[in-house]
Amino acid sequence: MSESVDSTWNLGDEKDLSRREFVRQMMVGWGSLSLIAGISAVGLMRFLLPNVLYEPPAVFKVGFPESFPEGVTPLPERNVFVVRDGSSFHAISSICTHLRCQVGYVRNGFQCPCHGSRFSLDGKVIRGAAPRPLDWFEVTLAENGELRINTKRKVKPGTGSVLIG
Amino acid sequence: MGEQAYRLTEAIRRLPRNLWDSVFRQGVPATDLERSEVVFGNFFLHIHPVKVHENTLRFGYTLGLGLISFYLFLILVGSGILLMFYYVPSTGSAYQSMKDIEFAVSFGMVLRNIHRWAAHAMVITVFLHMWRVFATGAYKTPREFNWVIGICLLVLTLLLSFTGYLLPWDQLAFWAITVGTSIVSYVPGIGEDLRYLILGGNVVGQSALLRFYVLHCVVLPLFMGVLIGIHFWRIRMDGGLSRPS
Repeated sequence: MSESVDSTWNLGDEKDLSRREFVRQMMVGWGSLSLIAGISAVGLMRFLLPNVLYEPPAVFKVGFPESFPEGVTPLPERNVFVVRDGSSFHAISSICTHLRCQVGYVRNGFQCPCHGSRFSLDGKVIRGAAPRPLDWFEVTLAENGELRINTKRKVKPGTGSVLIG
Repeated sequence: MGEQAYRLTEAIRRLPRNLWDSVFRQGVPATDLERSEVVFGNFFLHIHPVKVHENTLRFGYTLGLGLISFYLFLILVGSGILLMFYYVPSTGSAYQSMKDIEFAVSFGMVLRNIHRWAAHAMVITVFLHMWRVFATGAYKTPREFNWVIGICLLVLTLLLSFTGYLLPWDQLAFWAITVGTSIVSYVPGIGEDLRYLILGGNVVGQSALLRFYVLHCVVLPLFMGVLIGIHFWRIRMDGGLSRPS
């Protein structure tokens, strides 16, 4: 206890730590800390992106072709319109390309309730905020004869239809 | 161990006095110095400066908008915690529990409306506060940094407002968040990924509801509390409220 009070704050002789050594230690310290923080940040981002989704399936059957009347049949639960043109069937998305509201079937076309976009029966933009035409989805016949829609497969408007008979 | 140990009966007899003295450690302050020390040494009072400029007290200059916003925040925290006792953040029960709060819980309707109207009012008072600070030039040197903190608080207020909007899980909530998060997908390059991150999926569903609930009840209020603390502290550091000289 013969040391002076000041010396208790002096954690070693200043000469022990050279400038080079100080810089090296700082780089190791801050470097490893930054590395851990960086890895954690990437891990956090990855953690927040779910790998399994409990959402409605992207591929689904909608019923037998005969059950659809001529013209547009809205299927709001599935976010699609099934359109029958004689013996040809195609599917148009009912999600507005502007901000994803559900467009409604009106006379000779579709209309969005949110911001007033209007689409023709083949999905082309007639008026309003929508930047793109409505999506067309691939329609196929399932093994049991039902129409099957794949919303993961967007097709060019006017294609992707199924012909019956 | 210097003092003589009490006998048990003596200790019991002195207990009320000891408890009282442990809380009220000083007597009634007699001098100005002692009075200022009371303010300085008290956690709840130390937010106030010991001395206040006369012009700072002029209500017409600040209209008290900052403090009103803060009190609204406290009301929102209090009523929000109480609502959390009944609200269930699941797509199957959220709307039902919200209706239960309104019609089956005693004072639930009052509480929900306090939370709702205080939230609307806070957005308004924060904007008015910002307008007052701008109009009186209180954002100028040396208060630029506090203005920046204030911008962050404004953004947090709006985010809290937005995340809270989904929780009733009614049609209004669903479509508002559908539209709101679709706006996010217009961000160049990362828009769709950002939307996926915010919703925890491609549609406004269970993950989105839970995410918004956690953000609304934990993450955003936490940031809000810390930034409010810094905001108030900066007022003192920058020389008190801005005032006419």
